[in-house]
Amino acid sequence: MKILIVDDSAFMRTILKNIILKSKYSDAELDEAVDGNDALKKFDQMQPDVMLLDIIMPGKDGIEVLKEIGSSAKAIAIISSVDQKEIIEEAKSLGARGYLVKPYDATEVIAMIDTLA
Amino acid sequence: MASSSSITRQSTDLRPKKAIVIGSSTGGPKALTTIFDELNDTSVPTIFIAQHMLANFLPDFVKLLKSKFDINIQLGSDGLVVEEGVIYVAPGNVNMEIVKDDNDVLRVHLLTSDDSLTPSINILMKSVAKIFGEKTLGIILTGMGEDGLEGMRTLKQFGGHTIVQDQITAEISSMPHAIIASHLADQSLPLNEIPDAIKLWSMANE
Repeated sequence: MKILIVDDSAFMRTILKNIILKSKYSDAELDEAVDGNDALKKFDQMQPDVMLLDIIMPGKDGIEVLKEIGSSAKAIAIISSVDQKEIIEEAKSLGARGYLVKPYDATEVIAMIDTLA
Repeated sequence: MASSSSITRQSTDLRPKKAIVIGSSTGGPKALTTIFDELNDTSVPTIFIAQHMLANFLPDFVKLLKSKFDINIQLGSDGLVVEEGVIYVAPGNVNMEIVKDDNDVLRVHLLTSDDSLTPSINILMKSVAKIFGEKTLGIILTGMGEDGLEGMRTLKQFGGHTIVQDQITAEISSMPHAIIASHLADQSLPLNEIPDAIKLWSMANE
């Protein structure tokens, strides 16, 4: 399985990587993107099975990323501090198959990947 | 030997590059003891602590932690130069902030306060966030009320990372809950996972 983690916070990417590496998905191929533009580039290169995508990022945000690749991606889950209903609905209408609001725990992240895999 | 107040330059080796700021209230002393017990044999970064407590109890609390654990911990005093790897506890009846003086030296600055709730977590946290920016880790532990909410908001604005103690292990969960309800918590962790999170954050921010 290939998982792409998109978050402008290096530490949040580290946390998510650690959660995945300690789970049943420890053999997954992982890559990271630091912002929206990097996410689009890495998406093209990697063609991930699962993308964990933050919403609030400098430059191109998660919603804009979804507008570009939401319909072609296999499975995208939003992992964000944003919990406004309108944004969640917009993300889902653009192709996000799951939405996890911070603060999340390891169990929730793995359960999310389970539903997307 | 030059006194702390007469230092006009701060060696780049001693100057902290990152900082942790912890706020706690009811239940805090026990939580902090648990955290330092787990960090006991670890090299810790600079840590600032605002623990709501009657002023005359704070010196004994600091002495207790110093006697139990191998940590360099002290009560903040006005003008004290801030150094790497030292833990500064805000004294009572005043507020503590961290400032850069005219020579770019980081110092403890104490502010008088008419507020009965001292030391202010918000004041300490805001000052630390403005200096260390994204190299700041803010932690809100158990406690009543909302002190720390504006501090964590400022910390997030400056790119820092935020952790709250979860409601299962917090003796009183109002302070952590205020952070979560305002969407300012990056992580909510049980107390026993907070030391590992501190270690992980420290390594990630070398």
